[in-house]
Amino acid sequence: MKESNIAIKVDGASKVYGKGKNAFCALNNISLDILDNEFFTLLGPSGCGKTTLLRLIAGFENPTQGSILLHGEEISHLPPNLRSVNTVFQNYALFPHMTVSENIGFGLEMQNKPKEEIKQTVDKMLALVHMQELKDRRTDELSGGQQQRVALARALAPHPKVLLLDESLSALDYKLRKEMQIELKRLQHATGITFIFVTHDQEEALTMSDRIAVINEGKLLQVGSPHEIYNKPKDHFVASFVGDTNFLEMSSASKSDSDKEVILLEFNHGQTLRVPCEKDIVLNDGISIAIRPEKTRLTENADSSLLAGKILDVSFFGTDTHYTIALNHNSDEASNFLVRMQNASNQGEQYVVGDRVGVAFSAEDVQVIDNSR
Amino acid sequence: MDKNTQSIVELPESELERSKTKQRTIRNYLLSTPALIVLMVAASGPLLIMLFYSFMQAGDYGGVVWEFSTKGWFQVFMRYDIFDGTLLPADAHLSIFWRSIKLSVITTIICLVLGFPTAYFIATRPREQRNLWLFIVTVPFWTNLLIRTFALMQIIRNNGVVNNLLLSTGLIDEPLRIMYTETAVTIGMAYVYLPLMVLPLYATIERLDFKLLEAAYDLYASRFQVLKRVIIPLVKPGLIAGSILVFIPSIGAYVTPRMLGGGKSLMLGNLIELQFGQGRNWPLGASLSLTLLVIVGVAMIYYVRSAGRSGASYGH
Repeated sequence: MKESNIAIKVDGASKVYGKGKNAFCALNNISLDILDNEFFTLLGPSGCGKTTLLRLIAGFENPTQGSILLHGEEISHLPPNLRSVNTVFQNYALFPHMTVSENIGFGLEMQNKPKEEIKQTVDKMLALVHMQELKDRRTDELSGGQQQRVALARALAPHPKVLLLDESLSALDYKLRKEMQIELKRLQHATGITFIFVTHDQEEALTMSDRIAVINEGKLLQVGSPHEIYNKPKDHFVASFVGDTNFLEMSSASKSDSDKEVILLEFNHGQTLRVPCEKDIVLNDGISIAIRPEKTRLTENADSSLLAGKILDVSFFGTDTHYTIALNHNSDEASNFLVRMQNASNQGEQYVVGDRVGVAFSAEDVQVIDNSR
Repeated sequence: MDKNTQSIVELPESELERSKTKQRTIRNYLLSTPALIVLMVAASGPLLIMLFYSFMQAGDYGGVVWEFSTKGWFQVFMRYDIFDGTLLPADAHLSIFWRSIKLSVITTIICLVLGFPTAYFIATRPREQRNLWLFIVTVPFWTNLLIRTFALMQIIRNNGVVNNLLLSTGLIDEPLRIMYTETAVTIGMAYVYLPLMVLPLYATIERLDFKLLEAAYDLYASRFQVLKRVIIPLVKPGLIAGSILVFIPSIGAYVTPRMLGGGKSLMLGNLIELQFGQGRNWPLGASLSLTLLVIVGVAMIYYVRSAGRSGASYGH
């Protein structure tokens, strides 16, 4: 990761609202490098601080501590109009007293670009978001998807170094959202601008992003590619927020004698699994492991499997079937085990509610979660 | 699908629908009847009487003589020289017209300049504080206009608060003569009518989507450009309403110019009062009143049109 490749560097940024007893820490010491020409997503539940981070980068808020650098240049003291960063707002914030073209040209006009250049760029942007026919419409005559396109074009027209998107797709219905997800990826490739996308939708984050930062309660939990975030969650929250996960509390776990980065997990009937883990993991409180439902499968032989239990529920989803299993050693209903299996052809209904089954999975699909974190 | 919608559109209105709609229309008329009657009687009635009086002859001791005459209207604009009887424009009247229009326009501008930041300030307070600020703005309305004007006199007169303060600090050597000037009248009117500007402005600024200001600021607009290109076009309905609410009472003001303007700064309201009082020329008074009405009407149409042209289309 070369320094010159970094578009936005967030260096130890904190944001505290209010003072004294009422103080609320929206962001807690966040450090983050966002690369040039990257589709970067800030993912977290609502109120986690992701929008605050976006507003710090845009310049609507100033950090309480820390700094923000744009291509190596400190920008945290600059007002929004002096930053080469544009925002697509959650509800688009299109100017209702201007036409589509006037909206798109607004940024360029404010930069005192020559009229001819503004017209050309606006036409180019209209073509880019396929809105040529509606250029003279007022914005309140547009549908949600069209408004979204205009908002994108307006923010892209001045060719900012970084484009910020604040939950920009959440107001659209499902089908339109899917379309816009593809559209956004296309626009990012076409313009070569760094996109920072804020969302609470983990699926959206996984499908669109080059890299994802998971944020919760003002803290940065994990940064990585969608694969890393999904397959190697470092944290209980990351594992549970991104996709469905089975958590198992392992009381009988021990470090391998030969290798510091392997942990021995003990399952039913003395079966053990050797699972990779981080070197500095602490075993005092026991540990938890996370297993994705689709990485597990049911076996008919309950006694020789790693886990065993009774099927509580079977849901058919077309491409796959979801089984809810009540594990033998576990009487707590809340932690039922979820198994997701693809429906092979001509398979018919293999398992039914009430069957006693075994659950199998392989060691590389087990993710060890450090509870002390 | 097209076929279907068409056939639905072309369906004739059913008998039941039609009678229901009719019933609803009648009911709405009935509900607004009391208000309509009050408006007719209280507004149109006196106006018609004024129109009638303006075409009568003046009685010797006030009132009118029931004989048709256009003398009242003639006197609004023209007069005969006392000595040689030549026809001259009624320059005293015209200068009062001019002064009334001038001072009202200045008052409106002052109220705009002072009222806009005030309204903006209130609209950007936390919601629970706004009512308190609005309440403070309306406090002057609690007191009678006469008393407020007397209070203002204590402030601006030769040995009033302002002059004493300026004299004691040595900024001026002799007291500023503010009382009984056009300045005093303008100050007085701006003071009295300022809340009428603040309230409608507040109502529109409060509904303003502040995300739009952020969007403009984000798109490289300076603070001034945000004001000029986004805030003002969007709060234009409030600007227009506030200006109308200040301009109309200003141009017809009576108490303020009477008390603060003295004899030299008469305004239309005072001139009209003179004709019905000491002047004992009711037809002239009635004609002047109707002329004032026409001035206000023309000014309003012109103002709303020109304001509308420069982008007040938003606001529905």
